[in-house]
Amino acid sequence: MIGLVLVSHSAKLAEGVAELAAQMAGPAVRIAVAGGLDLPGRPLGTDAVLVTKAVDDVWSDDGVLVLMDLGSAVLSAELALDLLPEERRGRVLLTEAPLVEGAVAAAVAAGLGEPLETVAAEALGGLAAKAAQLAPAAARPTTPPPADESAEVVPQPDLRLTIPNRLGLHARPAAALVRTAAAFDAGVTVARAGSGRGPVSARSLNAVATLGLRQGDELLVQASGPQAAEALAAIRRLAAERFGEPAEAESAEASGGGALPTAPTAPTTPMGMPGAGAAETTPPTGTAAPPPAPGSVLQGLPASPGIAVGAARHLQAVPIAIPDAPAADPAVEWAALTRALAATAADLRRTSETVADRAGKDGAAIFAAHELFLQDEALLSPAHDGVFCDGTTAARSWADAVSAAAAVWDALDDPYQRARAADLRDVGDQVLRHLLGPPSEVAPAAAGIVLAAELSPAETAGLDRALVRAVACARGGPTSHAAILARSLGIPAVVGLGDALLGVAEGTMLALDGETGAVTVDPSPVAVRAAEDRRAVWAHHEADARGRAREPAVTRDGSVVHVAANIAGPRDAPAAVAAGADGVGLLRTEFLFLQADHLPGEDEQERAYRATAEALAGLPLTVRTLDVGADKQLPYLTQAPEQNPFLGVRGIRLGLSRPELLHVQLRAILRVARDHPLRIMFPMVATVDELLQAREVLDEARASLASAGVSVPDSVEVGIMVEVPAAALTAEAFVPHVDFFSLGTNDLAQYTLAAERGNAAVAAFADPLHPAVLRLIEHTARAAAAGGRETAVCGEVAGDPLAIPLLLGLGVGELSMAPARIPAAKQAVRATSLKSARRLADEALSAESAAAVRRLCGALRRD
Amino acid sequence: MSETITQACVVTWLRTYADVVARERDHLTDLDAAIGDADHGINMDRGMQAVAGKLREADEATADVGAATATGGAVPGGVGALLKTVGMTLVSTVGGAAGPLYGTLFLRMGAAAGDRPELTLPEWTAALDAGVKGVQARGKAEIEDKTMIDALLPAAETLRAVAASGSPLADALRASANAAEQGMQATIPLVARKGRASYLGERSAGHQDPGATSSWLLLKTAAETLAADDRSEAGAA
Repeated sequence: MIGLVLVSHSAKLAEGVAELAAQMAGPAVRIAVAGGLDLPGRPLGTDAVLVTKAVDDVWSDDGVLVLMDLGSAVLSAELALDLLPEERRGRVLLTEAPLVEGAVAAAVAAGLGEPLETVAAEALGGLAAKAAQLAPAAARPTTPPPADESAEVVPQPDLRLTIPNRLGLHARPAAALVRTAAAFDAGVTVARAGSGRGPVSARSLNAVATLGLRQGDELLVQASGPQAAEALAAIRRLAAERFGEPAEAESAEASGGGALPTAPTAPTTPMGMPGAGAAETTPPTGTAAPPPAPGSVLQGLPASPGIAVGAARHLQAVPIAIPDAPAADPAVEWAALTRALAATAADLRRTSETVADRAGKDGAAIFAAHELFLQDEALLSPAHDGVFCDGTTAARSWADAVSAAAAVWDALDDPYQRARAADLRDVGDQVLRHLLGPPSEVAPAAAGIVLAAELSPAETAGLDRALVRAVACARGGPTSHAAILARSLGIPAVVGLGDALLGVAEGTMLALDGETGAVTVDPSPVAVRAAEDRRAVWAHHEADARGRAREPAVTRDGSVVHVAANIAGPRDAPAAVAAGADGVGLLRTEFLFLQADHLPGEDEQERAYRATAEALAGLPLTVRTLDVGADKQLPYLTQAPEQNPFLGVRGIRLGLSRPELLHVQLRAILRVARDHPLRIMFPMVATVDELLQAREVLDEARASLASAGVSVPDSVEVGIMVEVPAAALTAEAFVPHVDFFSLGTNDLAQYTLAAERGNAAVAAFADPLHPAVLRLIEHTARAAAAGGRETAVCGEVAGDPLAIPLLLGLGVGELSMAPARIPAAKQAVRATSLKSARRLADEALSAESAAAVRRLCGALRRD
Repeated sequence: MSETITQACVVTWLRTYADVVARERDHLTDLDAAIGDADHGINMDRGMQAVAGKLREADEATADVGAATATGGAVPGGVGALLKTVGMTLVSTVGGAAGPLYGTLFLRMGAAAGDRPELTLPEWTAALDAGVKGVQARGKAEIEDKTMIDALLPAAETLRAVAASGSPLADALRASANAAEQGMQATIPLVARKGRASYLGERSAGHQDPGATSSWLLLKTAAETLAADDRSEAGAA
C-alpha cells in the first residue's frame, strides 16, 4: 500500500486533513504530515527536512504520494525529493491535487491497494464531486461576453460617462472617483462598457483600478440608496472636470513625475526655420520672437544628456568692426592676409587636436573641413581683387569676399547650404580677428545656460565648462557638429528649440533636460526643485557608472558583453583604461600616417603599436589597418582626385592597390602580436576576394618575418569591418575566413541609405537605427553566431545607452566606443536582459522607420 | 587582503550576515508587506539566528577538543560541510519560500566546495554558480520575474567574468555585490511573475523585491568579509 504525505504551512491544518482522510479511508492507510516548522510554538512555514522525515515514516516500495498546500510547501516538497536517497526518489510523486479533496480521494484509493499512479489520478480528480455539485451556479455567467452590449451586467446604468483623461483613469483620477463615490450614502458600482469588467464597488480603489479604464472608454455607473441621485450628480461633475485633472497636469504626468512638463505642441524642427543663415550676425534680442511666458516649455531635440538649471546667457557673437583705415601697399595688405590665413589654419589645427584629446577624432574632423575654406578660390580670388585692383584693406577685402559668398548660400533654401554659410562666417571672423587684433570673448559673462541661434564647433569647443551648465540652441539637430561635441565634452544640450528661445531675456531662469529635450522658461520653484532633484539623481547615476566602470558589463541574465574603446593612438590608451574599457575594439592607425610628413617605417609603426599595447596592460587590442581615401589624403601618398571619395579607393582598396604599404604595416603589427593580445582588422571590405587578397599579404608578411628570423605568433585573429552593405549581406561567405566582424555602423548607415554623413542636408537619413541597417546588423550577427564568430559594433551607436539593448538583442557581443561613453554604456548593458532585448530587436526589425525604432527603445528603457 | 577564502572567513561572513539580517529584519518585512505576506524579514532572521546558533555550537565543540585554531573554529569537514549545515538549518527554520531557496543555495554551494579548508576565487565562483543554478532550478524563476534571481544571477555571472579576468579576490567580490545591487534595484518596476507577489499582478510593480534585497545583503556582506586576512577571528570563541 502506498504512503501519503501531507505538507502544509500549518501543523494544525495538516493534522486536520490527515484526520479527515483517515476517517474516510480507514485506519490502515499510512498518512504522515509535515506541517509548520519544528520550532517552539510550531510557527507557520514549511520545512523540507520534515517532509523527508514524513516520507521515511510512511515509506513503502509501492511509492509515496505527496500533497501540499501552496507557495513554499511546493518548493520544500521538491527540495525534500533532492534530499532523499536516489533509489527512493523515483517512487515519490508530488501532486498538484487540492490538499483536502485530494487527500481524501487519495486515501480512499490507497486503502483499496491501488498503485501510485492510480492514487495520484484519484487525487487529481478530487474536485470533481464538488465541481459537479456547484456546476449549476458556476455555469451562470458572472461576466457577459465582451461584445454583447445587451448582456451588460449593469443592464440600465444610471450614468454613462466617457473617460476624457489621456492616460485613462490611472491612480489619481481613480482615487478622486472613489472619494467622490464614498462621500454619499449610496451604493455605487462602476463597470467598463463592453469589456465584461465590473461592476465593482466604486468605494474600492483597487477594484476601480482593475477596470483598466482608458481614454475614450465608457464608464457605466449605477447607484442605489438614499443619496444615489446626489452621488450620480457629483460623479457626473467630476467627469466633466476630467476627474480632477487639468489638461496641463496630465502632460506633466506623462513626462514622468511632473518634473519637466513637455509642451503639448509639436516639436519645432530645425528644417524650414525662417532666416536661418542670418542668425550668426543677428543679435538675439533683435529677433521678432516675443519672450516666452514664465513656466512655458520649449520643446527641442535632445542633443547631450544631463539636466541643468541656470540663468539664460546669450552667447553674443561680438560683431567685428572693420576700421576705415586707408589701405597700405597692396603687397603689404596681401601679406597680412596671407599671415592671418596661415594663423587661422594653425588655430584650426590646434583646436582640432584639443578636440581630439577631449572628444575623439570624429569631433576633430569638423575642423579639417573648415581649413578648406582658407584655401577656397571663391574667397581668395575676390579678396585678391579687392586688395590689388580696388586698393582696399586686407580686412575689408576678406570680409566682403566672405559675406558675398555666405550671402549666396543664405539665399538658397537648402539647410545644408545655410549651415555651411554659418561655418564660413565663423572661419571668416577668425581670420578677421587675426588681422584686427585680439579675438573677442565668446564665453558668457557669468555661469548659466548658454543660448545661441546655433553654435559653431569652434564656439562649442571653446565653452568654459566651469561657466557653462548647459547649451540650448534655436537650430541644429542632434547630429550637428555642436551636438556631437557637447556630448563628448559632457555638457548637457538641447538643440532645435526654435526662434522663441532667442526671445528669452538675459538672466531668465531656465531648466533644461538634455534627455527629453525640454527647456522650461522661468520655471516655478516646484519645477526648479524637481529639476534639481532629477539632476542630483542623474549625477548620482553618473557617479555610480564611473564607480563601476572597471567592472565587467554583465547583462541581467548573465551574458558578459565586452565594452571596448575606439582610440587613435597610444596617447588615448590611458584614458581608455581609466574609463573602464575591456580592451580596444578599434585602434585607428591613421594617426601615425596623417601626422607624419613621411611614410612611417616598420620600426616606427611597431613602436607606436607596442606603446599602445603596453599602455593597455594586457587588454586585447584590435588594430585596424590604414583607412584613408581621397577625402583624407596623405601628403606623401598621392591619390588621384575622385568625384565620390566615399565610393572610391579607400580602406582595404587602398591597401590592396599599394600592397607594399599594407605589407609593412602588417609586419609591424605581427611583431607586436608576438608579445601582446592583438588582432587585425581590415577596413571597408566589400567582397570575399578582397579579404582573401589581404590575408595573402598577411601570410607574406608573416613568411618574410619568419625567414628573417623574427619570431611570429602562431596565429593572429583576423576580422573585417562590416561597413559596406555587400559585406553584411554576404556575411556567411566571409565567416570561414574571419575570426570576428566589427560593424562600422556610421559608414554602414551612410552606404545603406545613400546619405553622406558629412552632408547636413541628408545626414539625418544615415541613421544607424534605421530598420534597414538593423537588418544588416542582425544578418551579420546571425551568420557570425552560426559559424561561432563574434560580432562587434564600433560605430557611434555602440555608445548610445538607448540603442544598446537593441544591439544586444540583435546578437552583438562587443561594443566599442569613445572612452568617455564607456561607464554609461556598461550600466546600460547591466540594466538589459537579453530576453527582453531580443523581443525589442524583433519589433525593431519590422518597424517602419528609425523614429519608430527609437520609440521602441525608449519604451523599453522606461519600463 | 587575502587571495583565498578560508573557512574562518566563511564563518565570519555567515555571522555578519545573521547580524545584518537581524538589523534589516523590519526593512525586509516592510518590503514584503507591500507585495507579499510580510514575513520575509522575520523568516530570514529566524533562519540566520539558527545558523548563528549552530556556528556557536560548533565553536564550543571544537574548543572542547582544543582544535579551535586548527579548524578555524568551524565545523570539521571543510567549507563544504559548513555550507551544507547552513543550508539544512535554513531549510528547517525559515519556513517561507526563502527556506528551500536559500537552503538550496547553500546546499549546492557546499556540494561544489567539497572538503577544502579554503577556496580560491575560481573555486568560490564555481560554488556560487552551482548554488545560484540550484535556486533557479528550485524556484523555476528567470531573470525579471522579480525574485532573488534578479540579484543572484548577475552577481554570479559578474563574479565569473571578473574572476576570469584575473582580478584580485576583493575586487571580484565587490563587483559581484554591485551587480547584485543593480539587479535588486531593477526589480522595482517589474511585475512579479513568481511567488506570492505574482498574485498582485501589475500592482507588484513599483516595489523592490524583498528576496532580491536579502540576496544583495548576502553578497554585500560577502564582499565585506570574505577577502579578510584575519584567520583567527572566527576561532576566538
